[in-house]
Amino acid sequence: MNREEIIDLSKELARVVLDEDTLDQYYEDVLNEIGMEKNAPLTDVVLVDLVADNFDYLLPSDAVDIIALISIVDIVSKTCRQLTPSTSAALEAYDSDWRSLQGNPYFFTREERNDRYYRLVPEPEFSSSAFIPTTGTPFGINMPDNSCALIYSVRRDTDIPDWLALHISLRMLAKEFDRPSDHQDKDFAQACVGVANVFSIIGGL
Amino acid sequence: MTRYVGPTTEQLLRRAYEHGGISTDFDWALKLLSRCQRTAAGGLKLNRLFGRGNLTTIAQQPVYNIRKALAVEPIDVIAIKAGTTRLLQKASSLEELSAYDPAWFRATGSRVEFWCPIGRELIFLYPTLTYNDSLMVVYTGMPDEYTTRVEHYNTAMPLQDEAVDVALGLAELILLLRNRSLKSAETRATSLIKQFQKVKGLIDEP
Repeated sequence: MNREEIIDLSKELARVVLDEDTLDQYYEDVLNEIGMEKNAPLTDVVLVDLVADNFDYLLPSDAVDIIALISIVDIVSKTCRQLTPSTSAALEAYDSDWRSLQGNPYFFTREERNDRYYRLVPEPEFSSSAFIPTTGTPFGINMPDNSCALIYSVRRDTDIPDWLALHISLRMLAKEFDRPSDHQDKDFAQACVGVANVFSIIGGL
Repeated sequence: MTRYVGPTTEQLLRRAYEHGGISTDFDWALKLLSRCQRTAAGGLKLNRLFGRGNLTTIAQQPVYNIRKALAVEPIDVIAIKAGTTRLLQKASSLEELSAYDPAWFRATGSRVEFWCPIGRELIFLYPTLTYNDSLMVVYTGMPDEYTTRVEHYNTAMPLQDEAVDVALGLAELILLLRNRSLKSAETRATSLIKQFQKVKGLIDEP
């Protein structure tokens, strides 16, 4: 299903005239919330080219949250590391000079930047080698040295699995009927949350 | 006992009507039942919906998008087999693999031992092989979509009786909500969760 179909489904469930723009925004909000949850269902993976002396990296445009960032620590032994999510307070405790550390990244933080960026700590010392595609995928034998794999939850407008559609619609309606408007109905909004939870439990989300 | 789409939809409409609901278009209710059946199938992991597909693995590539790789829309991956008999072990998280082997992301071996789901779309294989190969993926397939009374009235529903009742309960819940029968919806939600847990206990998991 796509975004428009889910918005239409929400309107059919509501049985009152709803504002299309607001619903459109709530679609975005709900997909973001689902992407932030543990066991987010929609996921993707991308290769991150590291640049020496650059600590800031931009998330892909469809990314909601980082599930895992994996860096290759040692090219010969193939040792890799799942970077630890951290906060500036924790990094401060780790090393008061953490902002100027250089080397293989151990941590990442999204605290000090706007929400589309993440910062690697220490900042990478070497740039990634060039990706030379031979099998069509950047992972496996083609994975460039000194690069990172970013696994992340996704927010998108198309290809939403059908089993997830009602759950999304119900959460959109909960928001729509909770806000002050001529059709505000807090009881209905609360009921939508309850039914969305039932769909979540039975759907195994 | 096989249940059919048409009579089950009529049963749904009758239940909604009993709660004082407004009339609902048959085809709309049928599509709703179809969606709810898909939701129930995802949670119950019913073996009669299991499908099998070949996953072509690329040398040393550990991550696969299962929907793209199988060119089907599985609700959930249930198991992965190497050859016809050997089941790969399922790791519950990437951290588990990382604790098992520090070289987990680029590890190679003579056979794949573990798989780990990442959400519902990605799977991670450990270790990878140094050559291209294939694995058999067992997944919960998506039940067919029902569209119109004319086309699907006599279509047999693929789920077991008890599972159809869960799907029917979900659809009923939506109709109650839509009809603003909020008190009835609340009561039905509680009983449906109990019903689901009972059915989940009855139906063998893989």
